[in-house]
Amino acid sequence: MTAPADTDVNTADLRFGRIGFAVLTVLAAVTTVGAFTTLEFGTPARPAPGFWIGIVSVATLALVVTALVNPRIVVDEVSRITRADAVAVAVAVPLLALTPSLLTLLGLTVTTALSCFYWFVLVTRTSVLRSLIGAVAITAGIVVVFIELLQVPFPLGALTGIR
Amino acid sequence: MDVLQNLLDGLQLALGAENLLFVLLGVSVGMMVGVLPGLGPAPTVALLLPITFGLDASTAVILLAGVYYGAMYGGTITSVLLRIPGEAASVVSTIDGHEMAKQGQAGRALGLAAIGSFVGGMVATCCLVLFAPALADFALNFGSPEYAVLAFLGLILVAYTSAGTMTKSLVAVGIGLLLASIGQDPMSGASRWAFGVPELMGGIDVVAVIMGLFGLSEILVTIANNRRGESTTQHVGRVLPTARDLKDNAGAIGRGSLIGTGLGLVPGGGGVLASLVSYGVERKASRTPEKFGHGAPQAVSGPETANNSASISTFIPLLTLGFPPNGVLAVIFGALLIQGVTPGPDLISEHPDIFWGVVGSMVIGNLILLVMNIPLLPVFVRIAKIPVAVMSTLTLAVLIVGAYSINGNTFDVAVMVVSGLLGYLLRRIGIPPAPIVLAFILGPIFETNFRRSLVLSDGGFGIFVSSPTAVVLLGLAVLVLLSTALPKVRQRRRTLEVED
Repeated sequence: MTAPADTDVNTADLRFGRIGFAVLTVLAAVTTVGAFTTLEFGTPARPAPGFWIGIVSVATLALVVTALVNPRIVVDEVSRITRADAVAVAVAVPLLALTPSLLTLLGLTVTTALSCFYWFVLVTRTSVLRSLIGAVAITAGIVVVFIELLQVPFPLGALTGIR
Repeated sequence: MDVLQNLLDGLQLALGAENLLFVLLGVSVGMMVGVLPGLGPAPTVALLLPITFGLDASTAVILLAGVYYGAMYGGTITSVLLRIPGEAASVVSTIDGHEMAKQGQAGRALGLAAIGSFVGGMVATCCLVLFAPALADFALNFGSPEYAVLAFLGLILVAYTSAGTMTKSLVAVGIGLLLASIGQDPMSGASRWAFGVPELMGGIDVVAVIMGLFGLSEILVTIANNRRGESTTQHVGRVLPTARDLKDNAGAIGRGSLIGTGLGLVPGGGGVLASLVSYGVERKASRTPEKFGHGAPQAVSGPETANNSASISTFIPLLTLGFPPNGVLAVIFGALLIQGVTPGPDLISEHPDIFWGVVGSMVIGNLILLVMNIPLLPVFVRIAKIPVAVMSTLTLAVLIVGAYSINGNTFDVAVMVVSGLLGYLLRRIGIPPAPIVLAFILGPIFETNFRRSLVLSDGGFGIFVSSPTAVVLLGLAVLVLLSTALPKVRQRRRTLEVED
């Protein structure tokens, strides 16, 4: 697959890029199959809801496959996820995933304070005391700007009963 | 005469107490953002969107526009003093600007950049005043085929000018178009890709996607890298340029103004492209090109002028055609939609207060920036040293609250989070977020006009070359595609010949 002109391509970057593009290829293929099987395509004179999606998904699949088989394209602008990167993002993901539910259960103020504290301590590894001060300060700022000044109608938390 | 009267009305509107306050706030935040490495104008404009919900449409755009061109000024400061480009468009200034700083001429570099930025901003504002209304009148004659071809050209140019290979940028465009197709079919109203989720029936909110792709993915990249720059210079020196400096740099500033104004109009263009082209032009035009890279003042004044004028002329396609040419303008497009205003050829006639108010605010904003830039320099240098931990946490909190504020539901927060994680992973494999956002915005325009054209022509694709405007636009798109493909074909042929 590797052309002579591609010998200077970094193999680790290439492997990482290929994994990413292989996943994208699968997703694009699933989208294309889904478009043609679940949506009506119609004809050029009477394009149905699947007409546009069909064209775009086929074009996207073709582009992703082109990139996958071309090492120079795969490695271009690739920035491998290192172990440290993966750890930082993995620690952030649970908080991000839970945030929508926390907003409903705890309200804006408590969710913001908890999120900031979590982010300071676990993601940015700030000391507990500094994290506490930072979380309180940021939450106070958010409450003043969004609830007091802008009067954004945040609902009461189901568990806490406060905004 | 009408133009002059409208301009005076715009200036009057911009000088109103509330608008003046938001111009000041916008350019100040923009300068801070420009100074802070990592947080670019697009994520910041996205972060400020929730604040604009309660404002008038004109005030909202005045605030966000101020952030954009303010960031162009601010980005220079850290590029020159710390060799950290606070903003992508200021990368070029890290070369000669920092060399000047090492020679004790940081103030001279910053002063020339500030004056150049002011001149460039005013030239681009004049072009906005002179050409935008005429372009809007012209665009009123566009039918579905012209709009479909214009959207196609826009997406091709965005892919062409984005970072990295064109193939990856086109993949990003495809992803954006597919995301935009979620929800109701624009012509029949049928549900597409909603999977029975009620919130998906109406489609994904563009603002939540923007906040995720630009804001959240940015802080995920920042916390993962967690890089901090070291200050390498303390001596700023004289800030105000001498008459000799101004004379020596007048050509560079003039050329930078024209290059920036021109490239700002190109979809995918903006400050980065303009500053790079300006640097190249100045090097070619210089009698002493060997000084470039070793502290040539024209290598700072030209590109800095160009990036500021480009940031203003990018408003022309948005306010006249309804086409956001880059990520920041895509967010401003979203802000106008939230206000119930659809950018396009009718905007100037139906909402003159928005157009002329924004123009007026640009004049005032550029003046404020010129005055602020010099005395506040030490303050901005200090801002550049705010720890990543504080900035990322504050950004996260604003993103969560902002996403919730869009429609008052947690679904948008979830969309923001998913978009952010998706944006992070795509950026890691070299797929830029800006084409995704622009395709997401242009997708419904492109699809509706594409399908409508086909219905009108009874399925005949010849309708896309049925008018001179469509032919010219399509020809440009083909030229851009060929200019990317042909050199690669030639290179491949050469490689095969060598092998034989």
